[in-house]
Amino acid sequence: MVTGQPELAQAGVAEAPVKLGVENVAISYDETTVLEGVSFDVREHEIFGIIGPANAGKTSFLKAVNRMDMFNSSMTVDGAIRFNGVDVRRVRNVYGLRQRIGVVFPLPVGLPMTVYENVALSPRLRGIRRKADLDVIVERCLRRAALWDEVKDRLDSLGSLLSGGQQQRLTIARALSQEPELLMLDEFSIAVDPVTTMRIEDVLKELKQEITIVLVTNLVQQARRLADRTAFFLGGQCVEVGVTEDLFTGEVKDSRTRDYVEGRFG
Amino acid sequence: MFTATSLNHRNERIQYLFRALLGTMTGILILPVAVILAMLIYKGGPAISFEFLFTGPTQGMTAGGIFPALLGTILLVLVALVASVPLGIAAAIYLSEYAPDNWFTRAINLAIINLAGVPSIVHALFGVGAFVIFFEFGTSILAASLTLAIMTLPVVIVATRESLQAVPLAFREACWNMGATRWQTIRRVVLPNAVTGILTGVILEVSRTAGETAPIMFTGAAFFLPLLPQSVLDQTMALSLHLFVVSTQVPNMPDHVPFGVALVLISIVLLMNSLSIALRMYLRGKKKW
Repeated sequence: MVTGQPELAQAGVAEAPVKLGVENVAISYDETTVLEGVSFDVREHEIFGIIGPANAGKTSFLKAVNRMDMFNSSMTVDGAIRFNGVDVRRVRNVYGLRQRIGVVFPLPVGLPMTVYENVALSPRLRGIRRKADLDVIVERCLRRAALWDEVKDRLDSLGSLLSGGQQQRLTIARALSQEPELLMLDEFSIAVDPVTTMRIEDVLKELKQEITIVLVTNLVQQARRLADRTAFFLGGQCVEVGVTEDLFTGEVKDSRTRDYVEGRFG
Repeated sequence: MFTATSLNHRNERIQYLFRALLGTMTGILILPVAVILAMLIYKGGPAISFEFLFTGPTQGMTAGGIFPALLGTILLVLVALVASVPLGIAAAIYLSEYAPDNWFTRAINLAIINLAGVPSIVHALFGVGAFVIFFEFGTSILAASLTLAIMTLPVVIVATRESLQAVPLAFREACWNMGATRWQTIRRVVLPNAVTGILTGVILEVSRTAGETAPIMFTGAAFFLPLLPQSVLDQTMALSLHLFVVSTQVPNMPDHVPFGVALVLISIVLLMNSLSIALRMYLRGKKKW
């Protein structure tokens, strides 16, 4: 295990139970291995950052957590990813698993339906039918995604007509409508302006009180602002896991970590 | 700095040449259609009247109208639609959304393509064997329509599958990621966005069956019937067969009758095509991504 107890004590999350246990995970597409030997624990109510350059295997890791390897016959996952202590590959009810894990992609995928329908879809899939109940959920999720004030008068217009930043917050609202226990964001700020990015970051800090967040980001400063602990992926390996601030100022195991966070290569 | 070089001039000349060439080709394509339509309207137009459309043929089909054939064609196409559309759409949904990419699926896809290439006379003989004799429907609207349905199945499947696959994969993945099952994804996201394409594609393809002659002439379409069909187990007259009959089988046929029949037949097909195109244009304006 890379995560040592002293680091956890510093971050003040030592007692929190493990939400996502990652043990010796390897991911490959056909013959090409994109990630191997990854082990760390994500604890409840923390924001766990994953940083690293392109092709480091960050997105593939998120896909493995959500069992998206089922959609891609060339993708194979080895090792164990335990969600609430259960290996995701042994979960029978994969739909229930995915419902508990919200995912936000780099480019917002607004489903071709209205703003309201986008957020009401997941509750509907869970069998919630009453309009009044749906209204409450839609408003709450849009508020939590800091989007309500901007769209409350146009809930019936198409989601795809919103601006890029609004669409990204819509996908966050949609992920929240799943009432997830774990929210995974994959470079959510790539198509979003800096002001909106800051607003979403504030939202994430609040959400941390209720759920666990895995934040994949290209922006090391974003990880520094948000993440309690951070893993550094490089070239298909997880070279560093630790309290975020330590990556910037404390001891690091691998000198490449310091080089990366200080922008000496990228 | 911006003076044209000889290379620029040359490129420009080639560009004009190709534009002229491609334009001429298009013109040549339009010509036969225009000529056919003009001929039909010129020679068949005078035959069209209320009486022609809504009464039966008299005097050995040399006079009177075409109502039994017109009604028969509409019935045949409708019953064929009822049979082929649900089946074809269901198969297309399975092939597009569920079927794993393996040799079996590929074999089915190949079979569908081959089915589309089977000559209509072969379908006719299959219809006789299967529906008229084996299922004991006799020569009837039902047998003829089912034969037409089998013939149109491949195009319904292909049209539907293309509409389904026009819905971006990202939408499906986003929906799956929320914990939706395949069927929930199909019902909530894929079908609502593909239904316009399916509808227009199916109308367009099926309207072609209105003109088919071979598959119905042994299975349910009759040369001449004094009475209108009372049920789907009766025989019927049909425009396409009637056209064949009045143009080749009846002596002393006045010229305007076959042209009139052809004009009505082509009008039905064009009408359905225009409907499909209008629907497509209307719905495309409401596209959601």
